[in-house]
Amino acid sequence: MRRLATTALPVTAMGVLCALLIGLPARTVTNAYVNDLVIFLDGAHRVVWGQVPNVDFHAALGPLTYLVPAAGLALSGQLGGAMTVGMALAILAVLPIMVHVIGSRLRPVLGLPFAAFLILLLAVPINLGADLSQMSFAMFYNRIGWAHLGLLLVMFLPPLREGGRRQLWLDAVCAAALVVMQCYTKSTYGAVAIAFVLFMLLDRRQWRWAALALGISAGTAVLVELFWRGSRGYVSDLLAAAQVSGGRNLEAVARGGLNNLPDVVLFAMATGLALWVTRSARLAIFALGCLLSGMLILSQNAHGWGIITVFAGAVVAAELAMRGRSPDAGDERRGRLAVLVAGAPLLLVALLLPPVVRHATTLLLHFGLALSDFGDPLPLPAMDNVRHGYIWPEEHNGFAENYIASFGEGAAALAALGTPVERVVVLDFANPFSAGLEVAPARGDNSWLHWNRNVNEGTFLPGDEIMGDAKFVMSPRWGVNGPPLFRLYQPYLDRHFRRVAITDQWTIFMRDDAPDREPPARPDPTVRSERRDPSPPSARGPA
Amino acid sequence: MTALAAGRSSGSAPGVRARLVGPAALILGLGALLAIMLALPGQTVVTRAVDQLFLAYDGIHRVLSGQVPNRDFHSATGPLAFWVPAWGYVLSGGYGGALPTALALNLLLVTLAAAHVLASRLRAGLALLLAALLFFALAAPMHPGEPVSFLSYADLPNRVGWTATALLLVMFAEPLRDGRGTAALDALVAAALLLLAFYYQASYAAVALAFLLLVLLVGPRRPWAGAALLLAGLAAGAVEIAWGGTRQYLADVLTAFEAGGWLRGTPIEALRHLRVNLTDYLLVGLLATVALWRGWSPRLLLFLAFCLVARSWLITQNDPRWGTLPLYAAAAVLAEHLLRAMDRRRELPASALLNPAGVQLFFAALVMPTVVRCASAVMLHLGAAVAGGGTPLPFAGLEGVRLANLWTAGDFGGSTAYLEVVADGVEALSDTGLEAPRVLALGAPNAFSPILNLPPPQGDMANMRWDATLDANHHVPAADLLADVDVVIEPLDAGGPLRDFLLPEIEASFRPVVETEHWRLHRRSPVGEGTAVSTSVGRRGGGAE
Repeated sequence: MRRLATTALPVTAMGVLCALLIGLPARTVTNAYVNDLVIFLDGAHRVVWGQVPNVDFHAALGPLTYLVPAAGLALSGQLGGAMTVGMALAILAVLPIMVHVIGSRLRPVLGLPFAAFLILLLAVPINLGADLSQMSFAMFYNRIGWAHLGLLLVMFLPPLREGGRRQLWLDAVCAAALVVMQCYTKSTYGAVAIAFVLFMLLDRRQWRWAALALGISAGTAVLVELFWRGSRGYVSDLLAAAQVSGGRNLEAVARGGLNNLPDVVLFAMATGLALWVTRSARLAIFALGCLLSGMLILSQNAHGWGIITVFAGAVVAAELAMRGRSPDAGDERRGRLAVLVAGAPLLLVALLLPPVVRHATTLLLHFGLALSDFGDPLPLPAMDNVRHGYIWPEEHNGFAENYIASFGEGAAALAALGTPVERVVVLDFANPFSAGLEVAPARGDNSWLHWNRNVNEGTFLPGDEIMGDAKFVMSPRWGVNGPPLFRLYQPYLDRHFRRVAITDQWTIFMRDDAPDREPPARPDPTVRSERRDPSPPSARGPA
Repeated sequence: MTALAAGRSSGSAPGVRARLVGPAALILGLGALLAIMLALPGQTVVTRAVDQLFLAYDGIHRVLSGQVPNRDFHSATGPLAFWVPAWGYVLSGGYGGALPTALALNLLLVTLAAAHVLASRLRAGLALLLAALLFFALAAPMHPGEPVSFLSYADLPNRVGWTATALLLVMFAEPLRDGRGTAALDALVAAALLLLAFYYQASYAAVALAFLLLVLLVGPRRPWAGAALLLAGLAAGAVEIAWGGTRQYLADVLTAFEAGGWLRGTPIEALRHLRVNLTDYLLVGLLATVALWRGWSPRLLLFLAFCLVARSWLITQNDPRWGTLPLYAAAAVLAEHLLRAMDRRRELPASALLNPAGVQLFFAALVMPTVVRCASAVMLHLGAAVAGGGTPLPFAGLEGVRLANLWTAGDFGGSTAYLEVVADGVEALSDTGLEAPRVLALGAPNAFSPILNLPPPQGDMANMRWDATLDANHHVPAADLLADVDVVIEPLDAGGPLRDFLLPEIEASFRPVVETEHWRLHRRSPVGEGTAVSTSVGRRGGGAE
């Protein structure tokens, strides 16, 4: 009961509080990476309309990356809640696991700060390492992956008390849940998680839960596949992304470590202390694993700060050092250094306090701005609660402003065509229109087309697959990576589509498979003034 | 680490002795070791900021040519910024060893002061950590906070200034014990640090002076601060008799202050600074809160306020990347204060979170990242210097100076291109056929005088920077700056206010003679002969007659 009071209650309270702070306003406020946000809004919309990730559309991100915002959208009923309520749900989902893992393995003086750190990692609307005023939901799956992996690594510690069968099964279920969620969020985290559980099979005291967890995970994967049937698509989308941008050299990995040197140094201090006290080779291997796997994961991510495995490793080391502090060690030198072990909690405070305060600040900032009338709604009817605004004058970003403004222009041009708008495919980074206009999404296309990240001249999906179901295809004049995608798919467009409108920012094509149709006017995004097309005039096209 | 435990058993005379002698010896040893590691290879390896090297070499060249800083040329940095590198050149016998040896010399000076200040004020653990921080930060050929591979020797005055300021701030802590010799040594060391700061860069001396006055006013029985001020004044007088540049130095410094502004920075910049350095502020803020909570002291609060204000001012005046050092020094004072407060109430049961071991580890956590980063840079430089990494600069006499590419391809490319531009200028100057022209490089470090061993002009300014050392309203007259110059070499891509400032005088007294891909050379027209240029000076440019 005491454990319940000292760990479970505070952790639950923190989790619920943070979930409320991010989710309650059901409004998204952002000032960075709007194009990434669009992927998730579009994904949420697709899922709510019944599409299944990797089956009905291509996605190099795990299905949970789409289900989390979809749950947020379904629950809140609006796109402003897709990410915010979605993340609140993600926090609440992991909270019971966190209560069990941290409560059973870490003393409160270590466990509570670490729990706060993990919860805030999930709750804060930021791309890790960004300035604390840069609110965004870009790469939110990285925060989920890191938090789950960080929590899983705590299970390296044997439970504080022998717990019998109940403890064993809870451990197994928690570990399996974390492994499965990571695999279906982003594969790099899943790979490290599985490697860790395999490593735990070698632990004399803990192999049982590890074995059970692997079994449960495998069973879950089979079950999921029975219903989902998207594994094959997921893997092939992953392979395509890996082919385009999977390579990472030693320099990138090392640079990640150097960029996080302060955290690594504090981690090394905690680990050194624990190794001095315990002389455990297993701990040394674990610590090395934390560092290397974290650097590898980071090298695949698009954020500078945040090797979260190192934070988990430091907490584990501190706990082990404090457990191993026995005055009867007999070794005089060891005894002297052991005086320092009592200070391990404050060492962890030094490690955890800065990110905790940073993230709490951003979370509160987002909460406050979401409650106030801050920012401009993205200019599409369903995106009234997705707001974009600048906090500092230095942030003003012409690219983002143009990008956002192009949504409204594109929507107006679509509306002016006079036919029902549906099944729109955007030949750019992401598609704002299906979700923003609340229309039926196209099937078979890719929810995320990032030039040189998951698509390039050498690796791309055939036009028939991307645009086979499309009624409209929209090609932006610039977009994020519009021109190279247009060049890639121009032959397909020429054969099956007709250019129906041109605006400042968009060229709109409509399906026209009439076999006797004359050769299409070749659309050239750089020549805007010539209009040889007999299509209805666009709303805001140049004369 | 043994000393940490020993610190808890104070009382017996041997214990106290071990506590004081041990750290001091270790501090001296560490400083000496680092100095040797820097100086011994006699090589300079950088990955960037090659132009800053030439700025330093121009200064060395001026001193070796017999010029006296602030007497024969204007400079807003003090004479030590020229003399110490020159001593480094003399000791090591060339440009390759000049700057590392100069850094080693500075390090030795700071080490002597640190051995007294840190060992007399901080318990062993804190003293050694802070010594490691200050020494490595000073010794590392890089800016703190930048990637380890960004090796450069820029900003010697800032390094020394920040280190001296940080060390002086530690003297706010009361000595661990009142020895007879402590006060005398205190005065001596404080005076030395004040003078070191003054003769490098006056803004640091201003803070040091204010700090000593603060100690004099609010510190109980701290006559050492008064004695230090007196000593420093006497020493400055003696230096002035030998040097004779104080008045001109102060005038140059004043010009720089007025050009750059006494108070700089905007609230937005301050907020950005806070955001960028949030980690340090948070950790030191937590330490300060706990220290004041466990041992309330208005004096300590005043000290903290002083540190923050002085540091903020110095950051706006100087390179902000070094500004963390005084913050860490203040943190050491706070940690020592807190630990003493804990020692006084040792009968209380130790808290799981807040205990002496934790405070020491917390301080270690604060400084160790910088220590490791700077130590890595020192080792990287040592390794590259010993292993002969990098490409020697393509100029005679500069073979010991090497440009390396350590995952810094961008900087390497930029620096290589810069060196080609310099070589182009060197060739153009050699082709003028002049015996030994006195050259002024407009808006760029003067790489030419040291490379071609040309006599430096009298009365010009080392390191002319617009809005920093001069501006439209505060400057030495352009005619005075150019009075002794034979050739002005002007980079073609340069524009801006500095060029506009000098151009009327250049057009009045000089004529363009050669234009290369990157440079335009202006030669002095003979005085008083109007357009009839017939002397040997005019021969090559004679087409204009």
